[in-house]
Amino acid sequence: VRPRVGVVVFPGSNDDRDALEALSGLGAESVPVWHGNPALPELDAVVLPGGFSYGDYLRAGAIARFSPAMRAVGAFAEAGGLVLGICNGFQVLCEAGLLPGALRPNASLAFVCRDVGLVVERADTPFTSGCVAGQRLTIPVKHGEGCYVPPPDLDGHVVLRYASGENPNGSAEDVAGVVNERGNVMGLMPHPEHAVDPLLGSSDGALILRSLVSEAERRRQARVLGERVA
Amino acid sequence: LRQLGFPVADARVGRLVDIEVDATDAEEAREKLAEMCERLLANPLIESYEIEVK
Repeated sequence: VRPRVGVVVFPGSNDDRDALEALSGLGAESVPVWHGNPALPELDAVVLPGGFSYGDYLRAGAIARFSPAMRAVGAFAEAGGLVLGICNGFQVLCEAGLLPGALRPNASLAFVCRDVGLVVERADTPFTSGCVAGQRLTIPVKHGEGCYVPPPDLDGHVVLRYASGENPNGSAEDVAGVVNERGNVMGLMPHPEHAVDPLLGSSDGALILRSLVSEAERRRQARVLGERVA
Repeated sequence: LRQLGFPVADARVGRLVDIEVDATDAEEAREKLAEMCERLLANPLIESYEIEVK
C-alpha cells in the first residue's frame, strides 16, 4: 500500500507540482489539497510547498496560515501527523506557530537562487532518517525571505545548517531547517523536491523526501493493521 | 537621499496600515487594533508596532 501524502495548494504556490511529482516518484500516492478545503482527506503526511502564497503580502506565510486548510493541518500536526514545510511552507509553519522562529528578508535584500551545501545536524527525525549526522548535502535554495530568526531557546530544534561559508541569506547560526519539539513538524528553506534526480544536478533532496515517505508508509501500515483489527 | 544632498545618517522603509474600525470609544478601538497587530499585522518575534487612534 502506498502512503498518501497531501500537498497543500495555496493561491501563489508554485512548487506544488514538483513536490507532487517528486513524492510520487519516491513511492507515495501524492494528492493536491486545495487551501480552501477545511478538512483534509485521509493522509499519512502533509507537505506545504514553496511559492508565494497569497502573494506573500504582509509577511511571507502570514495570510496563508489563516486559510481553512491550515486549520486542518494544525489539527493534523496536533494529533502527531507528519508535516513538512518547504521554503514558503516553512514560512507558513513559523507564522502558524507550528515551528519556532521567523523568517525575515535575506540579509542581502536580494533574491537568491542557487545550489547550497548543507550539513545534517540531526538524523533522528522522520524527515532525515535516511541521512547520517554530519552528512553534507547539496540542495538548491530560491527565496527572498529566508533569513531565520530564532526564538530565545532554539536548542535541539536545528536539523539542517548551511555548510560553513555557504549561508545564502544571513540566517542566525546558519540555520537551514528546524523541527518542532515533538519531532513531527519540520521546515526548511532549501528545496528537496528540486533535487531528486542527477539530471537536476543533485539527488540529495530525495534523501529527505524518501525519509518522509518511509515514515508515512510505516504509519500507513499501522493504520491499515489497526483497521483490520477493529 | 544623500545623493540629493540631504544629511541622512540612516533610513528604513516601514509599513503603515490605516484601519477604520467600528468601536464605541477610542479605548475599544485601541484594544481591537492591538489584537489585530498581535494576531496578524505584526510578528512579535521580528517586528514591533505602534498604534495611533484618531
